[in-house]
Amino acid sequence: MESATIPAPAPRRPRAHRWLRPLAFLGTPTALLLVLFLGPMLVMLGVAFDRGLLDGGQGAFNLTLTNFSDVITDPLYREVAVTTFEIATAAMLAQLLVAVPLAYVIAFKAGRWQLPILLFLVLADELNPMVRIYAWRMLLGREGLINEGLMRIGITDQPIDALLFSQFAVTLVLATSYITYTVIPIYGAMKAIDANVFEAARDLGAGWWTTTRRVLLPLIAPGIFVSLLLVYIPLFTDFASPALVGGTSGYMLGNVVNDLVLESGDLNRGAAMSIIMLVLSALFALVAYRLARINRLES
Amino acid sequence: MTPRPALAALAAIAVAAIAGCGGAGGDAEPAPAPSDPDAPVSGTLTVFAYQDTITDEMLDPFREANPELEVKTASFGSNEEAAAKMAGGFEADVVEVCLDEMSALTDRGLLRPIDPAGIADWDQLVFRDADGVRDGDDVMLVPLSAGPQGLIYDAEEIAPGEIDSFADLFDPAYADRTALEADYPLPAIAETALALGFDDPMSLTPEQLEQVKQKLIDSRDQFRSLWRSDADVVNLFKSNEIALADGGPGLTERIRDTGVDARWVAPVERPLSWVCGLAITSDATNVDAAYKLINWQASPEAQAIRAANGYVVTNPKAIPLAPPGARKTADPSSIDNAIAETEPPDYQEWVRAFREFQAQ
Repeated sequence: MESATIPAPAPRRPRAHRWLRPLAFLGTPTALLLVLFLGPMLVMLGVAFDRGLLDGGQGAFNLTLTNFSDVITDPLYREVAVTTFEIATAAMLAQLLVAVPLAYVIAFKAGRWQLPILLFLVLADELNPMVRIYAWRMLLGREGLINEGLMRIGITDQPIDALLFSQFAVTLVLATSYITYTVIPIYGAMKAIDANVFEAARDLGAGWWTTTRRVLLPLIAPGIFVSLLLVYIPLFTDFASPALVGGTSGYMLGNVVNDLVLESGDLNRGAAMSIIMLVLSALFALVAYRLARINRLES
Repeated sequence: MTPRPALAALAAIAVAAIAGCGGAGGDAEPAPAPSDPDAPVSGTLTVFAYQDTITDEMLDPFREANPELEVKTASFGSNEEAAAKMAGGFEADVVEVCLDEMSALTDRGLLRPIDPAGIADWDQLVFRDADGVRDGDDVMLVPLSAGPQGLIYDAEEIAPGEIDSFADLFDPAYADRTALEADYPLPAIAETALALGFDDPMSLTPEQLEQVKQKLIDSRDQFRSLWRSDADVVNLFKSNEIALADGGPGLTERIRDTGVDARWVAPVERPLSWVCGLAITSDATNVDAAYKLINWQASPEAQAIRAANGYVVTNPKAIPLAPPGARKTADPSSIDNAIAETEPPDYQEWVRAFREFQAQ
């Protein structure tokens, strides 16, 4: 009986080199991301901490916190910040009030219409923001469709001026501008829910409100958290909607930064204000993360 | 290298890159006029201006007349932007300057005085003696276009002759039917100052500025909206949101094009007017060609092209060459008594006053 010779296994490449392969793949995009994303951020930081950088073209970097203290202590900016907070929060709440039921319908009730509705939401978001804002002006104006309709059905006998060029108009336009980014993460969270949990809740005697409060909302908390990150924070920096439909009452922080940089050429304080908004956003994200109890759900 | 020092190094590089950028340091002596204005020019000429000054329509005849010269162009959205780019190292021979925003350029020493003897039509030009055009004995720019700011009204709602003053913008009879320019603070502040009876709106005392701010804040409900672009105010008139606004004759024509019976009236206090022109930069390397270009832009032929585009021109000799339909709007005699919008020394206070009005 001939004994079979078992070929010696080919020498393996050293295990230590394996981890280099993904790193090599990731290296280029990571480096690009660092340069293209971190680079401008660092320039912004440099401008924010300098009193005269790019201002006067003298070229000397003078480290200072003055830009930050100017922005924080100025009562004008505090007043604008309060207005911005009110408008952005109202717009966010309005979006959540629409987005949660809408996402529920899409996820559990729409059936074959699920994809077309999602596609419609995405396409609606692709519309040029200026066109969308002007469309709202045509709807909300004195001779707009809404006022015409209200007068025709006898709810009012003259146009309601407050529909346009008011804080209400800014809130409405902002709320509709970002609705896609509010609905989709919540929809994503709902798709991960086993629909049987609602049936189980009903079997246990829970009404729709208890089911919503005790079952649905806790389960979609991660989706709401992502929506807040994607939408609530950008609401603070929007300047086109307040400028075009706010009239004399829609001046927001985004407009302040816009005016500081483009009108006054004050890059230093504009950058300082942007960084303050960024830090507050990060704090807000942290609080929202805790409140959403995402870590607990993950475990 | 650990991440933290790496970040610090990157930050230092970024900061150093900015810090090393540009800065003034060019020639501050008047640019000598060419000894022979008709001598051909060659080399390269870089023109940095608002887009409508460097269109092919404006520059092609100049290029054809100077075949040995390469004309390069770049555009900006404001003198502040132009100054930041020039301070950052962008080199131009000629730059467009507007009186109400020129400090961004002059404070950085980016302009070189001009010898008016080198400008053939100098003695014809309106606003040649305006503050800003002249800085003491120096001529800083050649004024080429202007835009009076008065009152625009919808004649279907407001009878001709019913309004004639900036004070009408604040008349309760037109409450919630007016709009005010908010693209930049200067027009609104200056118009309110004139409405309050202050004679020199470009030199307000702190007390007067405070009164202006308070007047604006107290009149917030008077304004249906604040307009920020020509398209914006055209839309406001067309959609019947307003019947009265501040603006110029060119803008009035645009509103009329939409079917609104808009009329323009010069206020009794005198209209305001923005004034823009061309200047030679302190880093200019082709001064002869710069004079040649400015002479072309001030010539009746080039000014007629500006007139056709709806601007008030500064050279009256251009009017017979302008299209008949544009002559009335372009005629500089309409702004003979206008107050040139210049940048007040305390402009940042104006900006702040206007922001406080907006933030209320």
